[in-house]
Amino acid sequence: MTPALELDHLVMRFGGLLVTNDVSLTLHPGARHALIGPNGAGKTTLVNLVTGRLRPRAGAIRLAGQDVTRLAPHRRTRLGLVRNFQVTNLFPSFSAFENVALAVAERDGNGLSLRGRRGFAPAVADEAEAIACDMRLGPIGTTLVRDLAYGQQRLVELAVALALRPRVLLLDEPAAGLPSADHAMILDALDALPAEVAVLLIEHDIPLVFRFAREITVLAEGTVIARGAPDAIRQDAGVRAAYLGSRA
Amino acid sequence: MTQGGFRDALRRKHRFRPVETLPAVALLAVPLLGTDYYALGTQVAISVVFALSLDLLVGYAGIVTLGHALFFGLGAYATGIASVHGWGEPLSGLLLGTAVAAASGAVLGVIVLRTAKFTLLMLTLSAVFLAGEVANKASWLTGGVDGLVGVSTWPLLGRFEFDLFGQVGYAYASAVLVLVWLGMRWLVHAPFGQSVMAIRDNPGRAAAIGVPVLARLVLVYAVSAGLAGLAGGLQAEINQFVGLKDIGFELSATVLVMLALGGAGRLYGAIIGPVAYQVAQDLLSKDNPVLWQLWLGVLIVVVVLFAPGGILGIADRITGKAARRTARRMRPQVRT
Ligand SMILES: Nc1ncnc2c1ncn2[C@@H]1O[C@H](COP(=O)(O)OP(=O)(O)O)[C@@H](O)[C@H]1O
Ligand SMILES: [Mg+2]
Repeated sequence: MTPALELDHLVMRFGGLLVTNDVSLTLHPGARHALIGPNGAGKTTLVNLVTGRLRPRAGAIRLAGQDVTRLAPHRRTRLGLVRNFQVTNLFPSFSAFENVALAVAERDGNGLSLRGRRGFAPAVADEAEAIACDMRLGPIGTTLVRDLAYGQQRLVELAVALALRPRVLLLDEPAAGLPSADHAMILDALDALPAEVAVLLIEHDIPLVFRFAREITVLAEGTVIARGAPDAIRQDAGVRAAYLGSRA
Repeated sequence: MTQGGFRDALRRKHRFRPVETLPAVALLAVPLLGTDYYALGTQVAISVVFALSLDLLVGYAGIVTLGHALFFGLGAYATGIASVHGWGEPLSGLLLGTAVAAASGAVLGVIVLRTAKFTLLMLTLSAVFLAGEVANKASWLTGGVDGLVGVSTWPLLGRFEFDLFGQVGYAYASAVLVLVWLGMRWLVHAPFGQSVMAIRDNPGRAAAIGVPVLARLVLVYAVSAGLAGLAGGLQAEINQFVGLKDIGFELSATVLVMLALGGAGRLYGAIIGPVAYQVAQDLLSKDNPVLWQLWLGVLIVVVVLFAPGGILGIADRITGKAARRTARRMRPQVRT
Protein backbone atom coordinates (compact mmCIF):
# COMPACT_ATOMS: atom_id res chain seq x y z
CA MET A 1 0.00 0.00 0.00
CA THR A 2 1.43 3.42 -0.94
CA PRO A 3 1.69 5.61 2.16
CA ALA A 4 -0.58 8.66 2.12
CA LEU A 5 2.27 10.80 3.44
CA GLU A 6 5.93 10.07 3.91
CA LEU A 7 8.47 12.33 5.60
CA ASP A 8 11.92 11.11 4.72
CA HIS A 9 14.77 12.28 6.96
CA LEU A 10 13.68 15.94 7.17
CA VAL A 11 16.11 18.51 8.53
CA MET A 12 15.35 22.14 9.35
CA ARG A 13 17.40 24.82 11.07
CA PHE A 14 16.63 28.39 12.09
CA GLY A 15 20.03 30.02 12.24
CA GLY A 16 22.00 27.76 14.51
CA LEU A 17 18.93 26.16 16.06
CA LEU A 18 18.20 22.63 14.86
CA VAL A 19 14.39 22.37 15.02
CA THR A 20 13.85 19.32 12.84
CA ASN A 21 16.50 16.71 13.36
CA ASP A 22 16.32 13.91 10.81
CA VAL A 23 12.59 13.33 11.25
CA SER A 24 10.93 10.51 9.35
CA LEU A 25 7.25 9.69 9.59
CA THR A 26 4.85 7.60 7.55
CA LEU A 27 1.09 7.96 7.50
CA HIS A 28 -0.87 5.23 5.79
CA PRO A 29 -4.36 5.85 4.46
CA GLY A 30 -6.72 5.83 7.41
CA ALA A 31 -3.97 6.63 9.91
CA ARG A 32 -4.90 8.22 13.25
CA HIS A 33 -1.52 9.42 14.34
CA ALA A 34 -0.77 11.83 17.17
CA LEU A 35 2.33 13.97 17.37
CA ILE A 36 3.09 15.11 20.89
CA GLY A 37 5.94 16.86 22.58
CA PRO A 38 6.69 19.86 24.77
CA ASN A 39 6.37 23.43 23.52
CA GLY A 40 9.18 24.34 21.18
CA ALA A 41 9.75 20.72 20.17
CA GLY A 42 9.31 21.60 16.51
CA LYS A 43 5.82 20.24 15.87
CA THR A 44 4.44 23.31 14.10
CA THR A 45 7.65 23.61 12.13
CA LEU A 46 7.12 20.07 10.89
CA VAL A 47 3.63 20.99 9.66
CA ASN A 48 5.10 24.06 7.94
CA LEU A 49 7.67 21.87 6.20
CA VAL A 50 5.09 19.36 5.04
CA THR A 51 2.70 22.00 3.71
CA GLY A 52 5.41 24.04 2.01
CA ARG A 53 5.43 27.20 4.15
CA LEU A 54 9.03 26.26 4.91
CA ARG A 55 11.52 24.47 2.70
CA PRO A 56 13.56 21.75 4.47
CA ARG A 57 17.36 21.89 4.45
CA ALA A 58 17.45 18.19 3.66
CA GLY A 59 15.09 15.29 3.21
CA ALA A 60 12.03 14.59 1.10
CA ILE A 61 8.25 14.73 1.42
CA ARG A 62 6.09 12.36 -0.58
CA LEU A 63 2.33 12.59 -0.91
CA ALA A 64 0.72 9.36 -2.14
CA GLY A 65 4.09 8.44 -3.62
CA GLN A 66 4.63 11.78 -5.38
CA ASP A 67 7.61 13.89 -4.36
CA VAL A 68 6.19 17.27 -3.29
CA THR A 69 9.29 18.63 -1.52
CA ARG A 70 9.55 21.58 -3.92
CA LEU A 71 5.88 21.99 -4.77
CA ALA A 72 4.13 25.32 -4.02
CA PRO A 73 1.81 25.24 -0.97
CA HIS A 74 -1.40 25.75 -2.94
CA ARG A 75 -0.58 22.80 -5.18
CA ARG A 76 -0.12 20.55 -2.17
CA THR A 77 -3.53 21.64 -0.94
CA ARG A 78 -5.00 20.70 -4.28
CA LEU A 79 -3.46 17.24 -3.91
CA GLY A 80 -5.43 16.84 -0.70
CA LEU A 81 -2.84 17.89 1.87
CA VAL A 82 -4.77 20.08 4.27
CA ARG A 83 -3.86 21.75 7.55
CA ASN A 84 -5.30 24.05 10.15
CA PHE A 85 -3.28 26.69 11.95
CA GLN A 86 -2.34 26.63 15.61
CA VAL A 87 -2.59 30.40 15.71
CA THR A 88 -5.92 31.24 14.15
CA ASN A 89 -5.39 32.31 10.59
CA LEU A 90 -8.58 33.17 8.76
CA PHE A 91 -10.06 35.80 6.45
CA PRO A 92 -11.10 38.36 9.07
CA SER A 93 -13.38 40.54 6.96
CA PHE A 94 -15.51 37.56 5.94
CA SER A 95 -18.13 35.77 8.02
CA ALA A 96 -17.62 32.25 9.37
CA PHE A 97 -19.84 30.82 6.62
CA GLU A 98 -17.95 32.79 3.99
CA ASN A 99 -14.60 31.50 5.24
CA VAL A 100 -15.85 27.97 4.69
CA ALA A 101 -17.44 28.88 1.35
CA LEU A 102 -14.14 30.33 0.09
CA ALA A 103 -12.55 26.95 0.78
CA VAL A 104 -15.38 25.04 -0.89
CA ALA A 105 -15.27 27.26 -3.99
CA GLU A 106 -11.51 26.95 -4.30
CA ARG A 107 -11.60 23.19 -3.74
CA ASP A 108 -13.98 22.83 -6.68
CA GLY A 109 -11.83 25.07 -8.87
CA ASN A 110 -14.40 27.90 -8.89
CA GLY A 111 -12.06 30.59 -7.62
CA LEU A 112 -12.03 32.28 -11.01
CA SER A 113 -15.73 31.91 -11.60
CA LEU A 114 -17.72 34.94 -12.69
CA ARG A 115 -21.01 33.11 -12.37
CA GLY A 116 -23.14 34.13 -9.45
CA ARG A 117 -23.35 37.72 -8.32
CA ARG A 118 -24.04 36.89 -4.70
CA GLY A 119 -20.52 35.98 -3.71
CA PHE A 120 -20.97 32.25 -4.04
CA ALA A 121 -23.10 29.85 -6.02
CA PRO A 122 -26.14 28.60 -4.05
CA ALA A 123 -24.78 25.04 -3.93
CA VAL A 124 -21.48 26.29 -2.51
CA ALA A 125 -23.32 28.37 0.10
CA ASP A 126 -25.46 25.42 1.18
CA GLU A 127 -22.51 23.07 1.50
CA ALA A 128 -20.48 25.62 3.46
CA GLU A 129 -23.38 26.22 5.81
CA ALA A 130 -23.88 22.50 6.40
CA ILE A 131 -20.20 21.98 7.23
CA ALA A 132 -20.14 24.96 9.58
CA CYS A 133 -23.35 23.84 11.28
CA ASP A 134 -21.77 20.42 11.95
CA MET A 135 -19.23 22.36 14.00
CA ARG A 136 -22.14 24.09 15.77
CA LEU A 137 -21.25 27.35 14.09
CA GLY A 138 -24.78 27.90 12.79
CA PRO A 139 -25.81 30.59 15.30
CA ILE A 140 -22.79 32.77 14.61
CA GLY A 141 -22.24 31.78 10.97
CA THR A 142 -22.96 35.20 9.53
CA THR A 143 -20.74 37.07 12.01
CA LEU A 144 -17.39 38.33 10.73
CA VAL A 145 -14.69 36.04 12.08
CA ARG A 146 -12.76 38.99 13.48
CA ASP A 147 -15.71 39.57 15.82
CA LEU A 148 -15.82 35.94 16.98
CA ALA A 149 -14.50 34.62 20.27
CA TYR A 150 -11.22 32.75 20.07
CA GLY A 151 -12.79 29.33 20.59
CA GLN A 152 -15.27 29.95 17.80
CA GLN A 153 -12.46 30.96 15.47
CA ARG A 154 -10.75 27.65 16.28
CA LEU A 155 -13.87 25.82 15.13
CA VAL A 156 -14.00 27.85 11.91
CA GLU A 157 -10.39 26.77 11.31
CA LEU A 158 -11.48 23.18 11.64
CA ALA A 159 -14.53 23.65 9.42
CA VAL A 160 -12.36 25.21 6.69
CA ALA A 161 -9.97 22.26 6.84
CA LEU A 162 -12.81 19.73 6.62
CA ALA A 163 -14.40 21.65 3.75
CA LEU A 164 -11.30 21.07 1.63
CA ARG A 165 -11.99 17.30 1.65
CA PRO A 166 -8.52 16.29 2.80
CA ARG A 167 -6.75 13.06 1.99
CA VAL A 168 -4.13 13.90 4.54
CA LEU A 169 -5.21 16.18 7.39
CA LEU A 170 -2.66 17.87 9.63
CA LEU A 171 -4.27 19.35 12.74
CA ASP A 172 -2.10 21.65 14.82
CA GLU A 173 -3.64 21.85 18.29
CA PRO A 174 -7.25 22.18 17.07
CA ALA A 175 -8.61 21.94 20.61
CA ALA A 176 -6.34 24.52 22.22
CA GLY A 177 -8.49 27.20 23.79
CA LEU A 178 -11.67 25.12 23.55
CA PRO A 179 -13.63 23.83 26.54
CA SER A 180 -13.35 20.07 26.97
CA ALA A 181 -17.02 19.81 26.06
CA ASP A 182 -15.98 20.62 22.50
CA HIS A 183 -13.35 17.86 22.38
CA ALA A 184 -15.97 15.21 21.77
CA MET A 185 -17.30 17.23 18.87
CA ILE A 186 -13.85 17.38 17.31
CA LEU A 187 -13.44 13.64 17.71
CA ASP A 188 -16.87 13.10 16.16
CA ALA A 189 -15.91 15.26 13.20
CA LEU A 190 -12.73 13.25 12.70
CA ASP A 191 -14.68 9.99 13.00
CA ALA A 192 -17.04 11.22 10.30
CA LEU A 193 -14.18 11.60 7.81
CA PRO A 194 -13.99 8.99 5.05
CA ALA A 195 -12.09 5.94 6.30
CA GLU A 196 -9.11 6.38 4.00
CA VAL A 197 -8.25 9.91 5.20
CA ALA A 198 -4.96 9.99 7.12
CA VAL A 199 -4.94 12.30 10.13
CA LEU A 200 -1.98 13.67 12.05
CA LEU A 201 -3.06 15.36 15.26
CA ILE A 202 -0.80 17.61 17.28
CA GLU A 203 -2.27 18.02 20.72
CA HIS A 204 -1.33 18.77 24.31
CA ASP A 205 -4.50 17.45 25.89
CA ILE A 206 -3.40 13.94 26.81
CA PRO A 207 -6.88 12.41 27.32
CA LEU A 208 -7.86 13.66 23.87
CA VAL A 209 -4.69 12.21 22.37
CA PHE A 210 -5.29 8.79 23.87
CA ARG A 211 -8.91 8.74 22.75
CA PHE A 212 -7.92 9.62 19.23
CA ALA A 213 -4.62 7.97 18.38
CA ARG A 214 -3.77 4.51 17.18
CA GLU A 215 -0.12 5.47 16.92
CA ILE A 216 1.87 8.20 18.65
CA THR A 217 5.13 9.91 17.81
CA VAL A 218 6.91 11.91 20.49
CA LEU A 219 9.08 14.81 19.45
CA ALA A 220 11.51 16.62 21.75
CA GLU A 221 13.98 19.27 20.68
CA GLY A 222 13.39 18.41 17.05
CA THR A 223 14.14 14.73 17.47
CA VAL A 224 11.79 11.74 17.48
CA ILE A 225 12.34 10.16 20.88
CA ALA A 226 9.63 7.53 20.82
CA ARG A 227 7.03 6.04 18.54
CA GLY A 228 4.48 3.34 19.06
CA ALA A 229 1.01 2.32 20.12
CA PRO A 230 -0.61 4.51 22.83
CA ASP A 231 -0.12 1.92 25.55
CA ALA A 232 3.56 1.52 24.81
CA ILE A 233 4.04 5.31 24.82
CA ARG A 234 2.22 5.56 28.14
CA GLN A 235 4.73 3.15 29.68
CA ASP A 236 7.83 4.64 28.04
CA ALA A 237 10.13 5.96 30.74
CA GLY A 238 11.95 8.33 28.40
CA VAL A 239 8.69 9.91 27.28
CA ARG A 240 7.50 10.32 30.85
CA ALA A 241 10.72 12.05 31.70
CA ALA A 242 10.72 14.30 28.68
CA TYR A 243 7.10 15.18 28.54
CA LEU A 244 4.32 13.27 30.19
CA GLY A 245 5.92 13.29 33.61
CA SER A 246 5.54 16.99 33.95
CA ARG A 247 1.93 16.98 32.87
CA ALA A 248 0.20 13.65 33.43
CA MET B 1 -30.23 29.12 12.49
CA THR B 2 -31.89 26.85 9.97
CA GLN B 3 -30.27 25.86 6.72
CA GLY B 4 -30.55 28.60 4.15
CA GLY B 5 -29.59 31.39 6.54
CA PHE B 6 -26.34 31.80 4.69
CA ARG B 7 -28.10 32.23 1.37
CA ASP B 8 -30.25 34.95 2.88
CA ALA B 9 -27.21 36.66 4.33
CA LEU B 10 -25.48 36.59 0.94
CA ARG B 11 -28.57 37.96 -0.75
CA ARG B 12 -28.63 40.86 1.70
CA LYS B 13 -24.93 41.56 1.42
CA HIS B 14 -24.77 41.51 -2.37
CA ARG B 15 -28.16 42.98 -3.19
CA PHE B 16 -28.51 45.95 -5.49
CA ARG B 17 -29.35 49.01 -3.42
CA PRO B 18 -31.46 51.83 -4.82
CA VAL B 19 -28.79 54.42 -3.93
CA GLU B 20 -26.51 52.63 -6.37
CA THR B 21 -28.43 54.27 -9.20
CA LEU B 22 -27.39 57.73 -7.97
CA PRO B 23 -24.22 57.89 -10.11
CA ALA B 24 -26.29 57.17 -13.22
CA VAL B 25 -28.76 59.87 -12.18
CA ALA B 26 -25.86 62.28 -11.77
CA LEU B 27 -24.58 61.44 -15.24
CA LEU B 28 -28.01 62.20 -16.69
CA ALA B 29 -28.24 65.44 -14.73
CA VAL B 30 -25.11 67.05 -16.20
CA PRO B 31 -26.75 67.94 -19.56
CA LEU B 32 -29.41 69.84 -17.62
CA LEU B 33 -26.71 72.21 -16.39
CA GLY B 34 -26.06 73.36 -19.94
CA THR B 35 -23.16 72.94 -22.32
CA ASP B 36 -20.66 74.59 -19.94
CA TYR B 37 -20.33 71.48 -17.86
CA TYR B 38 -19.69 68.86 -20.54
CA ALA B 39 -15.92 69.29 -20.37
CA LEU B 40 -15.78 68.97 -16.59
CA GLY B 41 -18.28 66.10 -16.63
CA THR B 42 -16.21 64.24 -19.22
CA GLN B 43 -13.03 64.71 -17.24
CA VAL B 44 -14.72 63.47 -14.09
CA ALA B 45 -16.13 60.42 -15.89
CA ILE B 46 -12.65 59.52 -17.18
CA SER B 47 -11.15 59.93 -13.71
CA VAL B 48 -13.85 57.72 -12.24
CA VAL B 49 -13.01 54.92 -14.68
CA PHE B 50 -9.36 55.36 -13.75
CA ALA B 51 -10.12 55.41 -10.02
CA LEU B 52 -12.31 52.31 -10.35
CA SER B 53 -9.40 50.45 -11.93
CA LEU B 54 -7.20 51.51 -9.02
CA ASP B 55 -9.83 50.48 -6.48
CA LEU B 56 -9.66 46.94 -7.84
CA LEU B 57 -5.98 46.88 -6.90
CA VAL B 58 -5.83 48.92 -3.72
CA GLY B 59 -9.25 48.29 -2.25
CA TYR B 60 -10.02 44.74 -3.32
CA ALA B 61 -6.67 43.04 -3.90
CA GLY B 62 -4.74 45.00 -1.28
CA ILE B 63 -1.97 45.87 -3.73
CA VAL B 64 -0.52 49.32 -3.08
CA THR B 65 0.82 51.17 -6.09
CA LEU B 66 2.17 54.58 -6.90
CA GLY B 67 2.56 53.74 -10.56
CA HIS B 68 -0.93 53.34 -11.89
CA ALA B 69 -0.59 56.23 -14.34
CA LEU B 70 1.82 53.99 -16.24
CA PHE B 71 -1.16 52.03 -17.54
CA PHE B 72 -3.32 55.10 -18.08
CA GLY B 73 -0.49 56.57 -20.12
CA LEU B 74 0.18 53.40 -22.07
CA GLY B 75 -3.47 53.21 -23.05
CA ALA B 76 -3.56 56.89 -23.97
CA TYR B 77 -0.39 56.69 -26.07
CA ALA B 78 -1.40 53.43 -27.77
CA THR B 79 -4.77 54.84 -28.77
CA GLY B 80 -3.33 58.25 -29.68
CA ILE B 81 -0.42 56.90 -31.71
CA ALA B 82 -2.75 54.61 -33.68
CA SER B 83 -4.88 57.65 -34.43
CA VAL B 84 -1.90 59.75 -35.53
CA HIS B 85 -0.92 56.96 -37.90
CA GLY B 86 -4.30 56.85 -39.52
CA TRP B 87 -6.58 54.74 -37.34
CA GLY B 88 -8.94 57.00 -35.44
CA GLU B 89 -11.92 54.71 -35.04
CA PRO B 90 -12.88 55.24 -31.39
CA LEU B 91 -14.17 51.83 -30.25
CA SER B 92 -11.33 49.76 -31.66
CA GLY B 93 -8.95 52.47 -30.45
CA LEU B 94 -10.20 51.95 -26.90
CA LEU B 95 -9.81 48.22 -27.30
CA LEU B 96 -6.23 48.73 -28.43
CA GLY B 97 -5.39 50.96 -25.47
CA THR B 98 -6.97 48.45 -23.10
CA ALA B 99 -5.11 45.50 -24.60
CA VAL B 100 -1.70 47.21 -24.58
CA ALA B 101 -2.12 48.27 -20.96
CA ALA B 102 -3.47 44.87 -19.85
CA ALA B 103 -0.57 43.03 -21.48
CA SER B 104 1.94 45.40 -19.88
CA GLY B 105 0.16 44.92 -16.55
CA ALA B 106 0.50 41.15 -16.83
CA VAL B 107 4.22 41.39 -17.57
CA LEU B 108 4.93 43.96 -14.86
CA GLY B 109 2.71 42.06 -12.42
CA VAL B 110 4.71 38.87 -12.78
CA ILE B 111 7.80 40.84 -11.77
CA VAL B 112 6.60 43.20 -9.04
CA LEU B 113 3.89 41.12 -7.34
CA ARG B 114 6.50 38.79 -5.89
CA THR B 115 7.30 41.66 -3.55
CA ALA B 116 5.06 43.45 -1.07
CA LYS B 117 4.57 46.68 0.82
CA PHE B 118 7.48 49.10 0.65
CA THR B 119 9.40 47.25 -2.06
CA LEU B 120 6.28 46.97 -4.17
CA LEU B 121 5.59 50.66 -3.71
CA MET B 122 9.11 51.57 -4.83
CA LEU B 123 9.00 49.22 -7.82
CA THR B 124 5.71 50.65 -9.09
CA LEU B 125 7.07 54.14 -8.52
CA SER B 126 10.20 53.48 -10.54
CA ALA B 127 8.14 51.84 -13.27
CA VAL B 128 6.12 55.01 -13.81
CA PHE B 129 9.22 57.21 -13.69
CA LEU B 130 10.93 54.96 -16.20
CA ALA B 131 7.94 54.96 -18.54
CA GLY B 132 7.69 58.75 -18.30
CA GLU B 133 11.32 59.07 -19.27
CA VAL B 134 10.93 56.69 -22.19
CA ALA B 135 7.94 58.68 -23.42
CA ASN B 136 10.00 61.85 -23.07
CA LYS B 137 12.99 60.51 -24.99
CA ALA B 138 11.07 58.70 -27.75
CA SER B 139 9.77 61.99 -29.12
CA TRP B 140 9.67 60.60 -32.70
CA LEU B 141 6.84 58.39 -31.48
CA THR B 142 5.23 60.28 -28.63
CA GLY B 143 5.99 63.90 -29.43
CA GLY B 144 8.08 64.14 -26.24
CA VAL B 145 7.49 67.26 -24.16
CA ASP B 146 5.30 68.80 -26.85
CA GLY B 147 2.88 65.94 -26.52
CA LEU B 148 1.25 63.86 -29.17
CA VAL B 149 -0.36 66.19 -31.67
CA GLY B 150 -2.44 65.28 -34.66
CA VAL B 151 -4.71 62.84 -32.88
CA SER B 152 -7.95 62.81 -34.79
CA THR B 153 -10.86 60.73 -33.64
CA TRP B 154 -13.34 59.55 -36.22
CA PRO B 155 -17.05 59.94 -35.63
CA LEU B 156 -18.43 57.60 -33.01
CA LEU B 157 -20.15 54.59 -34.62
CA GLY B 158 -19.45 56.33 -37.93
CA ARG B 159 -22.17 58.89 -37.22
CA PHE B 160 -21.52 61.18 -34.28
CA GLU B 161 -18.79 63.77 -34.77
CA PHE B 162 -16.94 64.80 -31.62
CA ASP B 163 -18.29 68.35 -31.41
CA LEU B 164 -16.83 71.52 -29.95
CA PHE B 165 -19.24 71.60 -27.00
CA GLY B 166 -18.17 68.12 -26.01
CA GLN B 167 -21.66 66.68 -26.05
CA VAL B 168 -20.70 63.51 -27.92
CA GLY B 169 -17.55 63.16 -25.86
CA TYR B 170 -19.59 63.39 -22.68
CA ALA B 171 -22.14 60.83 -23.84
CA TYR B 172 -19.33 58.51 -24.94
CA ALA B 173 -17.41 58.80 -21.65
CA SER B 174 -20.61 58.33 -19.66
CA ALA B 175 -21.54 55.19 -21.57
CA VAL B 176 -18.05 53.74 -21.05
CA LEU B 177 -18.20 54.61 -17.37
CA VAL B 178 -21.54 52.88 -16.88
CA LEU B 179 -20.29 49.74 -18.65
CA VAL B 180 -17.06 49.66 -16.64
CA TRP B 181 -18.96 50.20 -13.43
CA LEU B 182 -21.40 47.37 -14.20
CA GLY B 183 -18.50 45.10 -15.10
CA MET B 184 -16.59 45.94 -11.94
CA ARG B 185 -19.67 45.41 -9.80
CA TRP B 186 -20.16 42.02 -11.38
CA LEU B 187 -16.51 41.09 -10.90
CA VAL B 188 -16.26 41.95 -7.22
CA HIS B 189 -19.51 40.25 -6.28
CA ALA B 190 -18.63 37.06 -8.19
CA PRO B 191 -16.69 34.17 -6.60
CA PHE B 192 -13.62 35.55 -8.36
CA GLY B 193 -13.93 38.86 -6.51
CA GLN B 194 -14.42 37.05 -3.21
CA SER B 195 -11.21 35.11 -3.70
CA VAL B 196 -9.33 38.32 -4.49
CA MET B 197 -10.56 39.88 -1.25
CA ALA B 198 -9.58 36.73 0.59
CA ILE B 199 -6.02 37.19 -0.71
CA ARG B 200 -6.11 40.81 0.49
CA ASP B 201 -7.19 39.62 3.94
CA ASN B 202 -4.60 36.88 4.30
CA PRO B 203 -2.43 35.66 1.41
CA GLY B 204 -0.86 32.83 3.40
CA ARG B 205 -4.26 31.49 4.35
CA ALA B 206 -5.43 31.82 0.77
CA ALA B 207 -2.55 29.59 -0.38
CA ALA B 208 -3.48 27.08 2.32
CA ILE B 209 -6.99 26.68 0.90
CA GLY B 210 -5.49 26.15 -2.54
CA VAL B 211 -5.54 29.62 -4.11
CA PRO B 212 -2.69 30.19 -6.59
CA VAL B 213 -2.02 33.58 -5.03
CA LEU B 214 0.56 35.02 -7.42
CA ALA B 215 -1.27 33.92 -10.57
CA ARG B 216 -4.53 35.38 -9.32
CA LEU B 217 -2.95 38.67 -8.34
CA VAL B 218 -1.28 38.92 -11.74
CA LEU B 219 -4.67 38.41 -13.35
CA VAL B 220 -6.23 41.16 -11.22
CA TYR B 221 -3.28 43.41 -11.98
CA ALA B 222 -3.77 42.87 -15.71
CA VAL B 223 -7.50 43.57 -15.50
CA SER B 224 -6.87 46.71 -13.49
CA ALA B 225 -4.12 47.84 -15.86
CA GLY B 226 -6.45 47.21 -18.80
CA LEU B 227 -9.17 49.38 -17.27
CA ALA B 228 -6.65 52.12 -16.53
CA GLY B 229 -5.56 51.90 -20.18
CA LEU B 230 -9.19 52.14 -21.20
CA ALA B 231 -9.51 55.37 -19.24
CA GLY B 232 -6.33 56.66 -20.88
CA GLY B 233 -7.53 55.73 -24.35
CA LEU B 234 -10.83 57.43 -23.67
CA GLN B 235 -9.10 60.63 -22.68
CA ALA B 236 -6.81 60.53 -25.73
CA GLU B 237 -9.79 60.13 -28.05
CA ILE B 238 -11.92 62.82 -26.50
CA ASN B 239 -9.19 65.41 -25.85
CA GLN B 240 -7.37 64.43 -29.05
CA PHE B 241 -4.10 64.97 -27.23
CA VAL B 242 -1.70 62.94 -25.10
CA GLY B 243 1.04 64.53 -23.00
CA LEU B 244 3.78 63.45 -20.61
CA LYS B 245 1.60 64.23 -17.61
CA ASP B 246 -0.68 61.38 -18.66
CA ILE B 247 2.07 58.91 -17.81
CA GLY B 248 3.56 60.74 -14.85
CA PHE B 249 3.96 60.19 -11.17
CA GLU B 250 1.75 63.15 -10.36
CA LEU B 251 -1.24 61.54 -12.02
CA SER B 252 -0.51 58.31 -10.10
CA ALA B 253 -0.58 60.23 -6.87
CA THR B 254 -3.67 62.24 -7.82
CA VAL B 255 -5.77 59.17 -8.57
CA LEU B 256 -4.66 57.62 -5.27
CA VAL B 257 -5.73 60.77 -3.42
CA MET B 258 -9.08 60.72 -5.24
CA LEU B 259 -9.63 57.12 -4.17
CA ALA B 260 -8.57 57.77 -0.59
CA LEU B 261 -10.88 60.76 -0.53
CA GLY B 262 -13.86 58.66 -1.56
CA GLY B 263 -12.89 55.49 0.32
CA ALA B 264 -11.21 52.40 -1.14
CA GLY B 265 -12.63 48.92 -1.51
CA ARG B 266 -16.26 49.70 -2.23
CA LEU B 267 -16.55 51.00 -5.82
CA TYR B 268 -18.59 54.02 -4.75
CA GLY B 269 -15.56 55.63 -3.19
CA ALA B 270 -13.98 55.54 -6.63
CA ILE B 271 -16.99 57.47 -7.91
CA ILE B 272 -17.46 60.00 -5.12
CA GLY B 273 -13.73 60.69 -4.67
CA PRO B 274 -12.97 61.95 -8.18
CA VAL B 275 -16.23 63.91 -8.28
CA ALA B 276 -15.47 65.68 -5.00
CA TYR B 277 -11.85 66.24 -5.95
CA GLN B 278 -12.50 67.67 -9.37
CA VAL B 279 -15.49 69.76 -8.49
CA ALA B 280 -13.51 71.23 -5.60
CA GLN B 281 -10.54 71.81 -7.87
CA ASP B 282 -12.75 73.46 -10.46
CA LEU B 283 -14.27 75.81 -7.89
CA LEU B 284 -11.13 76.60 -5.96
CA SER B 285 -8.58 76.95 -8.74
CA LYS B 286 -10.70 79.20 -10.94
CA ASP B 287 -9.22 82.38 -9.49
CA ASN B 288 -6.05 81.09 -7.93
CA PRO B 289 -4.37 77.79 -8.84
CA VAL B 290 -1.88 78.15 -5.97
CA LEU B 291 -4.73 78.25 -3.51
CA TRP B 292 -5.90 74.90 -4.83
CA GLN B 293 -2.55 73.30 -4.04
CA LEU B 294 -2.89 74.60 -0.50
CA TRP B 295 -6.41 73.27 -0.12
CA LEU B 296 -5.32 69.94 -1.60
CA GLY B 297 -2.62 69.65 1.04
CA VAL B 298 -5.10 70.39 3.80
CA LEU B 299 -7.54 67.89 2.31
CA ILE B 300 -4.98 65.08 2.24
CA VAL B 301 -3.97 65.71 5.83
CA VAL B 302 -7.60 65.74 6.96
CA VAL B 303 -8.45 62.49 5.14
CA VAL B 304 -5.37 60.68 6.40
CA LEU B 305 -5.73 61.82 10.00
CA PHE B 306 -9.46 61.95 10.54
CA ALA B 307 -11.17 59.90 7.86
CA PRO B 308 -9.09 56.93 6.76
CA GLY B 309 -12.22 55.47 5.18
CA GLY B 310 -12.76 58.58 3.06
CA ILE B 311 -16.10 60.27 2.46
CA LEU B 312 -17.95 56.94 2.48
CA GLY B 313 -16.22 56.03 5.72
CA ILE B 314 -17.62 59.19 7.30
CA ALA B 315 -21.06 58.40 5.92
CA ASP B 316 -20.76 54.91 7.44
CA ARG B 317 -19.89 56.30 10.80
CA ILE B 318 -22.89 58.61 10.77
CA THR B 319 -25.47 56.11 9.50
CA GLY B 320 -23.80 52.92 10.71
CA LYS B 321 -23.45 53.59 14.40
CA ALA B 322 -27.12 53.25 15.14
CA ALA B 323 -27.46 50.22 12.90
CA ARG B 324 -24.53 48.47 14.55
CA ARG B 325 -25.93 49.11 17.97
CA THR B 326 -29.18 47.34 17.11
CA ALA B 327 -27.29 44.55 15.37
CA ARG B 328 -25.30 43.89 18.51
CA ARG B 329 -28.44 43.75 20.58
CA MET B 330 -30.03 41.32 18.14
CA ARG B 331 -27.03 39.05 17.77
CA PRO B 332 -27.80 35.75 19.45
CA GLN B 333 -26.08 35.09 22.75
CA VAL B 334 -23.16 32.86 21.93
CA ARG B 335 -21.03 30.69 24.10
CA THR B 336 -17.29 31.24 24.11
N1 LIG C 1 10.29 31.24 11.78
C1 LIG C 1 11.09 30.93 12.81
N2 LIG C 1 12.28 31.54 12.94
C2 LIG C 1 13.11 31.22 13.98
N3 LIG C 1 12.83 30.32 14.92
C3 LIG C 1 11.66 29.68 14.84
C4 LIG C 1 10.71 29.96 13.78
N4 LIG C 1 9.63 29.17 13.95
C5 LIG C 1 9.87 28.44 15.05
N5 LIG C 1 11.08 28.74 15.59
C6 LIG C 1 11.67 28.09 16.77
O1 LIG C 1 11.73 26.72 16.49
C7 LIG C 1 11.42 25.98 17.66
C8 LIG C 1 10.25 25.05 17.37
O2 LIG C 1 9.09 25.81 17.26
P1 LIG C 1 7.68 25.17 16.89
O3 LIG C 1 7.81 24.33 15.67
O4 LIG C 1 6.68 26.25 16.84
O5 LIG C 1 7.43 24.24 18.17
P2 LIG C 1 6.09 23.55 18.70
O6 LIG C 1 5.03 23.71 17.67
O7 LIG C 1 6.47 22.12 18.91
O8 LIG C 1 5.75 24.22 19.98
C9 LIG C 1 11.15 26.97 18.76
O9 LIG C 1 12.33 27.13 19.52
C10 LIG C 1 10.83 28.24 18.01
O10 LIG C 1 11.22 29.37 18.75
MG1 LIG D 1 3.18 24.61 17.78
